[in-house]
Amino acid sequence: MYDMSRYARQIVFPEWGAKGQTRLQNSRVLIVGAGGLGSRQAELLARAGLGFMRIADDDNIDLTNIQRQALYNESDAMQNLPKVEQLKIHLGEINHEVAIETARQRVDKFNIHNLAHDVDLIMDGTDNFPSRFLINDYAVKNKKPWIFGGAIGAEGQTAVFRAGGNPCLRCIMDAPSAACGENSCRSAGIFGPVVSAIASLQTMEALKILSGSAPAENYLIKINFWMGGIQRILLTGKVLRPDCPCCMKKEFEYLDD
Amino acid sequence: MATITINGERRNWEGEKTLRELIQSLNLKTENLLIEQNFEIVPANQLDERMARAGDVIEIIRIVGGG
Repeated sequence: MYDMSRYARQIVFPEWGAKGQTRLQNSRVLIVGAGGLGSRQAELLARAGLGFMRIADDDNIDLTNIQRQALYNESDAMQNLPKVEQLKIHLGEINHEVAIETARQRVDKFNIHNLAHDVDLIMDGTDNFPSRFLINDYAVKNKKPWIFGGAIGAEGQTAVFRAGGNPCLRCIMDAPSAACGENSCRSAGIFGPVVSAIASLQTMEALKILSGSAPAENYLIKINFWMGGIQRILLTGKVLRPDCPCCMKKEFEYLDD
Repeated sequence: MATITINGERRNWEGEKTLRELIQSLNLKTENLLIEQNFEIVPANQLDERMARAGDVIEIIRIVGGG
């Protein structure tokens, strides 16, 4: 039995209401990655009352994760437990009404269809660009919205990629370049508040899309949490690459063999 | 003195440079940059054709990974 009263503080918001809550209850989301971004997205979506989430990650919990990754604790790290399974346990304690499915897999071109075919939206909780290019190909091909998030050092960014007059990731980036690898959390560092804030921005966009009340305009937003600067660039309505191999030519090279 | 605004910061500006020259003068690599000039996104393959001029408002964001 789905108890609406526990969501009173968001239902009272006029643009959300019981209608938004009911839509969220009927929504299905794939979270790719259960690290800093993905674990926080999962927590916020569970608290908000999402109907179904599937979380995919093949990693185990390490003590260096606890500094920024939501819900995991010291005991999980000491036992080096699988992220998705511990996340499911902790999420169940927060909101037992959310149906949670876990996949102890790294998302790749062979399993992405199984993981994503029955969801309404894909959350980027990955830490690398090859995975994001794969998500982008799948999402464009299957007309599913996905929400990019990236965080490194004290900087974070997010963007909504969805059909209907919006560019895709490949309009912005040609290929996962070598430089992406250098920008890993291990070498450049990462702060808990940065990943939490980016995951929060991503999750808010997800709530708006799933409730049917997303604004027409999407931005790439970058926040420098050290210097305090915020930048945003409007993406909607811009044809960035008339020759985009993904959204224009429909060549999905990250999905194909 | 003519100025140009880059990422919200006004800078003195003289003459003309291509966007690629502008980016190089900022000691930035062009890799994975999303550039907006006067609220229009600049396709990555047009950095040598587009000129930066006094009065321009330019936003430069490097797309980052991690998470």
